[in-house]
Amino acid sequence: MTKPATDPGSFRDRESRVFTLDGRLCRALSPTALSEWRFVEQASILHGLIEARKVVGSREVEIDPDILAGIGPAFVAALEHEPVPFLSYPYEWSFSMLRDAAELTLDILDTALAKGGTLKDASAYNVQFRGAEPVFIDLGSFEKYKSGESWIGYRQFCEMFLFPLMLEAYRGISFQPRLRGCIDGVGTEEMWHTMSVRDLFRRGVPTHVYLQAKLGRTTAATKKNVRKDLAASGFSKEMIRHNVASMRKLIARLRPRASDSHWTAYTDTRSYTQDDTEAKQTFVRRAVDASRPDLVWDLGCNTGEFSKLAAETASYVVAMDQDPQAIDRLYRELPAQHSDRILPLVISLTDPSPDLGWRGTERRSIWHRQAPDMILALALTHHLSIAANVPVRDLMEWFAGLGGSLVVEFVSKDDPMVEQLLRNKIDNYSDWQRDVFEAELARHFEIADQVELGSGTRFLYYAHPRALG
Amino acid sequence: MLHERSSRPSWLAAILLLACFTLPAAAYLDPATGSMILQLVLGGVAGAAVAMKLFWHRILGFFSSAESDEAGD
Repeated sequence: MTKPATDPGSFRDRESRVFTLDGRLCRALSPTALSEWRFVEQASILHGLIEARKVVGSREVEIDPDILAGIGPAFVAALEHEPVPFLSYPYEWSFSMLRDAAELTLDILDTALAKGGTLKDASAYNVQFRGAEPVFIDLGSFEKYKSGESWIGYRQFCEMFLFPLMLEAYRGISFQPRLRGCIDGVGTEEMWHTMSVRDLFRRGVPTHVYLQAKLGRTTAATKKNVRKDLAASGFSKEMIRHNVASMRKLIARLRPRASDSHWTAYTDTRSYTQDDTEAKQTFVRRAVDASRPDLVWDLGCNTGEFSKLAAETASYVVAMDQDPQAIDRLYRELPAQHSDRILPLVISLTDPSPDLGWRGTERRSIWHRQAPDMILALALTHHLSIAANVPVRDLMEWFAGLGGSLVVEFVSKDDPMVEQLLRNKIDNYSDWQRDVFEAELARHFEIADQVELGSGTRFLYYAHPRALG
Repeated sequence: MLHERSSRPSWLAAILLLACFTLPAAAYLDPATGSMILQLVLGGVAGAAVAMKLFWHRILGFFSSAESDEAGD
């Protein structure tokens, strides 16, 4: 009998647990979760949402009771989910991505409420992206609405969606490091202390931040049964729907504070010529066609010019860049034909997403997800080597460790971009030489193709890892 | 007992009313309680109606507590 593998990030809800079995992605359900699922099915909450691609495809499946018992004593039934191509986390999303995920959560909650259901939580980790399309994955979150209940997920929604968005929109503070630093989001108290006097007059701050922080402090020690008393006082789901509608409006108005970054303007200001651009495109297209990769990682993708090119052949492209604005622009401007094939992520390669959460396994580091079949590293390595001081030898070892074939660009010290990087530095980058670069590359890779661009300062290599021949 | 039932909503009202004036309690137990109560304020007309009802009850309760006690309400 095949053994199921439980998902280490899915332990928080006692009523359901995600596991994989023979490559299938499933969710074990307790009797309570099963009855909630049956309710959600019968109330036709899910059908329209799955059809609109807002909720991940899911169906009830027969799983051997012994296998279910192996996952946990409470489980009696299972669902099978359609998997997403590559996992990502809120601290890797751009502003528009987090905002769209927030709006999706509110829309789903409102749909559920209208049909007698609700969501029992509002974690940003309940949302994943299929390319640029946000999709709700936590089927265990749906349940029947109990008359008189407030929205239990409200505070969590604020801390994981609303406050991070407000921080960036109102204070110009990037939310990604904050969400990465604290898996449960930006705490209400902390948010309150971050606000300035001016912010008190901004939309949503007096209620969602100030009053919530204040009431949190005032009532924290209460021994009263607030749930029961709210119900007794006439609380109704219409109040939740009102709050949801106004939060949706509030979120739709939020905009990131910073304007275009250096990198979003990069494609307009870069130093190489139209001929070089075309030669580069031809080379990359030839390499991708030859490799026919399933999964491509485009490292330092900027606004995704080569991600789009790779997506013509590859099944899926994860486009990573450290600049949230470049990623946001890529996300917003993805053409329809690529919208479910390119996943833009904010990743700093010298400070990438680590393993996080309970036992360090709840949220996986970028390296512990799905390994790429092909890596694009265009106009990247000089930044890693000169701006971030990574020795060329370490660089190539790292590429080799990622697995997959490699398209990499070397930009020499004569290139205006490298000159700029070195302008205010002491040039002790003796290993930043083309022959050293090639020798280190050849230690780990077999070079299959290479080209010198017309400028004479840029060189492209297409290489396969030696271990794989 | 009946008196206790009628007084239940009024403590919610009191907290809402006093939220702006009270000093922070040195407590750490369950900050989510406040978020539940806040949803009355965020609940639009329906929420405001309930909040009004709560305040009204409290005001009435203030003036007629002796009477209420006698009536067992």
